[in-house]
Amino acid sequence: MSTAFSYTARVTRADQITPLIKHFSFERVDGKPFGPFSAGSHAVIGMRDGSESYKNPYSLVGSSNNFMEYQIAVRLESNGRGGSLYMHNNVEIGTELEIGNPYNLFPVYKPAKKHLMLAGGVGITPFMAYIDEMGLMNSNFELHYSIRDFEHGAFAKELRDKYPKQVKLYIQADDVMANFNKILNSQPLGTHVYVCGPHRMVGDVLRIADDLGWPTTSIHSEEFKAPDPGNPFTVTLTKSHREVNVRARESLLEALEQANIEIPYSCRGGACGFCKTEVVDGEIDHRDYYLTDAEKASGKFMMPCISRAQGKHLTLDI
Amino acid sequence: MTKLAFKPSLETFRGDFTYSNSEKAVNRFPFPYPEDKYMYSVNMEHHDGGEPGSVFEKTFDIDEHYLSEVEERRIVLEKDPKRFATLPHMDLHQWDLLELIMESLAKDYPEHFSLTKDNDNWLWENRPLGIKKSFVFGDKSTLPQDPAEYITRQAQGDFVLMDQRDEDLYADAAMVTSSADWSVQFDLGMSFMEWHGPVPLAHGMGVFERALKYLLMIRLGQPVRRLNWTLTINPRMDTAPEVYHEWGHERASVTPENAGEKVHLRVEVQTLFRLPRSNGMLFGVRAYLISMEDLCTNPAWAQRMHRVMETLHPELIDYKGITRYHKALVGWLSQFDK
Repeated sequence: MSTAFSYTARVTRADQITPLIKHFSFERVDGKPFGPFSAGSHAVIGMRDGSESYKNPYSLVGSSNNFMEYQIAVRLESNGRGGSLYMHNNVEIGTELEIGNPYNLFPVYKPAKKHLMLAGGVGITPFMAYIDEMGLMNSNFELHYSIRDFEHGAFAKELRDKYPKQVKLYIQADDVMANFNKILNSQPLGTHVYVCGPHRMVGDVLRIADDLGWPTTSIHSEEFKAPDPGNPFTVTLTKSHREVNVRARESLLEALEQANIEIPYSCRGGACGFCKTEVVDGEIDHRDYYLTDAEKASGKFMMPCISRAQGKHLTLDI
Repeated sequence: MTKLAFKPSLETFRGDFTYSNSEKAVNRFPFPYPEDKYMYSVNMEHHDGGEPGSVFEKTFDIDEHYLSEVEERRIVLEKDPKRFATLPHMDLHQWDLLELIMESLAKDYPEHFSLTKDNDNWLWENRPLGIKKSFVFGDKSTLPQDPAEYITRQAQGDFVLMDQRDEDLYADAAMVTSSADWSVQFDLGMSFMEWHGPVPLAHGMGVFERALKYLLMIRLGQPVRRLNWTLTINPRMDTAPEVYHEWGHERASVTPENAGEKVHLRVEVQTLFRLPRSNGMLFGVRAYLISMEDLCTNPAWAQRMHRVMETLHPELIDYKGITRYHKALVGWLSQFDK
């Protein structure tokens, strides 16, 4: 499997669209178009802040038919690892960044009879491209979008103005909450559900859908999980004959990249499978959604983007 | 590199079988065997160019048989329009395919094809076929056929559009007029495992589980390819089950004397592309035919062909439909391996 390629891109717009969310547009530095992408795709943005570097995946928002630019919306995570902070405080019009080629872990289920989107907060981002595609394809869709207040609802006004029939806003400040039980209980057969939002909201929707007897194949969710910190550990690499130290606040993948060891990746959150790595020795703290239970139990594979060593040491076959 | 030239008159892949390869076409034939003994492998490599002049150089190879193969497709579709088939959720995939073929041909063969875009108003020119067509990208009513049918009627090779969902790939649309004994109407809508159900041996080897996992991770702008092969009697492109009555009996016509002229090696350059708008996958099957006589003008190929045929696994001999003439063929090839 080859590693992703990336474009050097320049920021052409950086708008504070809500108190916490900044909306960025990029164009390629070489002047060529990015080309189309599919709704639900993400791209990894590579940032360099002095000696620190960050690679964060963001959903591509905006029209997949505007080939000249890619757009993302970034929520400020004050307690995060620094990527969103860097995007908010240091990135302005003219800043150059690396953008990886898109990959889609949250695609539209094409044969669905109806598309039901459930968004919370910044979880609206993948649905911006969804709506664009569905409008284009004359699909049957509904969007239920929960926001703190109108001021915090990214894209809320434009969505409601463009699709008044299909878009329903739930504004917490006005005490209007989405009743997922009611929404999920009144859908026609052949409906597919897409949910993107805070961890608790996604969990609620999955649980309610399960209680109501929805087939798991009709429910699709996406959460970008940043790697949680853990204890520092050391890895020994059998093929490259090296030792690499992994600090508490960095992932194994990041530590390997810092040591100039290239591993394929896409989501950097334990979902896509690209970075699957063979483990020769040591106990693994599995934190991914990708490996099967049997693979996890075998102790032979791990996803270095998110998983760590249980103890102080691992030996990897790379 | 010499310029691409088409055969001056149309060749036939049926009836009087006037198809033949020029010396140039023989020299660039994609000989498929890396070893003297053949077994399956997931033999994928990046489809990002190849030796200048080789069949791998361009995204979609156009060769001297272009006009003849386009005519052959027209004949097949006239008799059996269902060789192009699509399920209703495949519109985006179809537009993806149209764009990929048009852009690639215009870029790789600018003397023959050009594409001009003014937002969604596109102008497509196919000079070898005398086509100049303006249409609105995304608006089916501006094309005479479905987008995928329209563009593949102007392309060499078969095309299968797969939709990706539930961690699987479904063959949900296809233009297939030169299949090696599989039916698009039968396979339409099948999952990856269902589609490959009839292949012997490979399932036990776990080849398809590995292949599917690999395919699901193919990324935008990073297509891959592999070679596959079979044998065909006479230079016949359309060996579909629907017309088995036309070609099945030809296997009985092979003798130790005529094997060199009758038996053709058919090599498929199979390509896989992630499609940008639909997140689907294109499976392209570009078939090349060469007679044993022409193949054996290359001594190294002749010797290896003999060894591969002599040692071929019995189940593969049967699956590829070689049983009936295997002995005659190996006998004929043995003259090149002494």
